[in-house]
Amino acid sequence: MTGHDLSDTAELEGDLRDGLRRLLGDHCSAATLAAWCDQGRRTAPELWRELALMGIPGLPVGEEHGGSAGSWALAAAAQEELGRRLAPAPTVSGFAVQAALAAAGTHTDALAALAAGTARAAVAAGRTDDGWIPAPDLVATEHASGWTLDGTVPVVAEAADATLLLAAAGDRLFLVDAAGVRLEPVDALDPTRPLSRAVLTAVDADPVGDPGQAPRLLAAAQRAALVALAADAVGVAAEATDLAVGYARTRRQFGRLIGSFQAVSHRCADMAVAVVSARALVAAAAEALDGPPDADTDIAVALAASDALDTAVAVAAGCIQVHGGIGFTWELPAHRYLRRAKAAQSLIAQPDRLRERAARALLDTAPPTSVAAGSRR
Amino acid sequence: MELGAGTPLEHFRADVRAFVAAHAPGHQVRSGVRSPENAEEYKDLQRWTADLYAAGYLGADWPGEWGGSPGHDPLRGVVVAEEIARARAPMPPSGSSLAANALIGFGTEDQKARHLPPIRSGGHLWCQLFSEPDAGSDLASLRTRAVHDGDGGGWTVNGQKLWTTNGQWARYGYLLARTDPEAPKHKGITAFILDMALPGVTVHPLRELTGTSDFNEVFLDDVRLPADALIGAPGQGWTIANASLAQERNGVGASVVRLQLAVQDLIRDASAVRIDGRPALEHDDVRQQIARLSAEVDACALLARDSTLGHLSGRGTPTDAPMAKLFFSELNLRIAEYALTLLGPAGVLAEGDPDAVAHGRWQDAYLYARAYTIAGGSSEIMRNIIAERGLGLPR
Ligand SMILES: Cc1cc2nc3c(=O)[nH]c(=O)nc-3n(C[C@H](O)[C@H](O)[C@H](O)COP(=O)(O)OP(=O)(O)OC[C@H]3O[C@@H](n4cnc5c(N)ncnc54)[C@H](O)[C@@H]3O)c2cc1C
Repeated sequence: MTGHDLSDTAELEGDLRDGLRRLLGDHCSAATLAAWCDQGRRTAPELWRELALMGIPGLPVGEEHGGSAGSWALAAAAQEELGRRLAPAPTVSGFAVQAALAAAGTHTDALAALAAGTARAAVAAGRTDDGWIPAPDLVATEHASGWTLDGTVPVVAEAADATLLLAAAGDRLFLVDAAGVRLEPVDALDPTRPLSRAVLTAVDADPVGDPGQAPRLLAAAQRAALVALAADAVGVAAEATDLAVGYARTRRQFGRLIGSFQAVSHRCADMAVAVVSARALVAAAAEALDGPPDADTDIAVALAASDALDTAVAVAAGCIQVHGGIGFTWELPAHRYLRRAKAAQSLIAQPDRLRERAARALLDTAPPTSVAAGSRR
Repeated sequence: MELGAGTPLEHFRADVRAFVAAHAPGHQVRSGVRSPENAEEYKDLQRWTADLYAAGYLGADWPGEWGGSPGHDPLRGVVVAEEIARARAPMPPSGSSLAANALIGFGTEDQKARHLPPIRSGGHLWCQLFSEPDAGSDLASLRTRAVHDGDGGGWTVNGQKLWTTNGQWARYGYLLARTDPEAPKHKGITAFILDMALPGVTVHPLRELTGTSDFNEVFLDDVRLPADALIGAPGQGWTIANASLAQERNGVGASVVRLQLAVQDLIRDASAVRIDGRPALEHDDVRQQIARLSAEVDACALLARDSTLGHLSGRGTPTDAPMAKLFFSELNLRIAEYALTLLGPAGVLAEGDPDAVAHGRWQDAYLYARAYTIAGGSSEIMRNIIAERGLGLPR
């Protein structure tokens, strides 16, 4: 965000959030979203078109690469608004692939198409508790004319209408035209973020970077995805808090508003504090992404993601509890928030493992303990 | 930690276990208090209920003339419920046994003669029509009105009930309605038998957050009840209902068996799931966590046992059942939550996916776990009771 001072940024962010709220108010109202999910739909092309018109897919990419802002901070703010409305838009994966391509410095056409929203990309990688690794069953073969990929990736998020896949196979990353990949629907806990099984049979694949670069590029993709997912979780938690508070303000039992019972009001207050602190951590992580990556970037990302992902689950659960019986219905959107939050916790990396990673990095950089403290047995 | 270990109850338990293995319906049940998912499951449930009554495993506490066994040891009822839970077999519908007990305690001979035999035969399933849109935690503020039609006549009922488990299958409803709007709110409530087939009764199944339909909304529009639909006396409804609510909260004992099963399932899945290339079960933090949950399940079993024994001996306290229910509900939730954590990346897959661990039942259990912290008195209400009646804190 060079060239803008703090107040410019704040104003930009405010305008962006306002614009998105208006757009999503139309496209992702509770009723629209419920119908979308319950009809088993997996893509929302009209919504995507509008988001692309607003420049949302290209927020992290600078104008020199066809993007709209060159700011992860703005991308995170936008993703929070998308999370708030449970928007079925494949931005988390799109941001991740953009980060990998930007780090590689190659495939500028693909990057520009992703930023413009004319392309949509998903990440086909192996999934572990600690995050993405090369997809174990994906085999890359080099021919005279180039590379092909074969195998199955059991879970690929946000791939339902992807045009590109970033595939991690062996010691390389590849860009693959999704048209040649069989994408089968997978039954997911969270229908607003559809999952697919990707089956690749002799699919042409375009290498991204050299073998030596793959870990670094995949790490860049994962950092971006985690920050976006964490921002999304903040939005989920913020809306779940608002829903709970709104209900506590209107529901009466025992002749009183239930919000006047401290069991309820303190729960709401805790939810609000958790949202504010998670949002602050995510903003710090997004800012870190805007700079060159170093050890602190990793710590900021891991802390923000672990905190926000756990917060969203706790807050969405609290929202159900405050609603009583109504919270237990399909009709009330509270469960959709819980599903989005719960699925996000295990989508990319587990919060406790992220915390562990941050702890390791923090302890590695801490000064050695004094000998006088002795050892504990 | 089983009730009656080392006593004649042990032999009884073995008999029940064998009976359940031989007779329980084959369909796997989901976590929680669930309704039949189709007509076949409903038929199975009816047959299963009939078998349990016929064998004397249910209804033994009823008066002899209605098929009970005088001198029956009430702990046997707990053992039966535990063994049904252990086999993961469907629980006989609780609405029916709540209604049966209300009729035995407060009904006329004629009502017992009419309704107890079809409950025994599984022919009539009952639902519990207590909660309303504006009367949940504050049940006593219920507004469904029953107006007496005059000399010797019946009653006309208007109102709406909500969250009625099994309402879509029930032949009869155990209804609470306000008959005296002038009386203090606990005093103006009366209990009724509602024939669900009467004109003016409309049942709409509601979909729950799990995606299944276990509860319903029930609209009552000018429903004409005969004079003999009244249970007990007008104004006695709150007393009758409280006996039922106490029975409901005491039912936690059997549910603890489900927590024991859940811990076994956790161990099973923790040995299949791999973390860092090793079975999860070989990791210290996983072992610690499972051990901690297992210890809490033992504690919960003891709380539930003491609560049941206290209830049966009349030496219990008003906070025994609320403590057991609160402890159970929150622990049940934490076990499912931990299970999903343990599944790691597979946690995003739901029931329909072939790669979902344990057929996605943990996801269902996790979502359903919310029911226990809300239904039958929410966790907040349990804490209020413990604080006020147990600790003597001011209201
Ligand atoms: C799965 C399920 C099955 C059910 N089956 C049946 C059935 O078969 N028959 C039937 O009659 N009912 C049934 N119920 C209804 C159930 O008993 C009520 O949902 C419950 O009593 C809570 O009432 P409510 O939903 O109106 O919530 P509310 O009472 O509106 O509570 C909303 C929130 O406010 C809190 N709150 C309320 N009062 C206080 C207070 N004084 N202090 C602190 N916090 C408070 C609650 O804890 C909750 O968090 C069922 C409910 C569920 C979820």
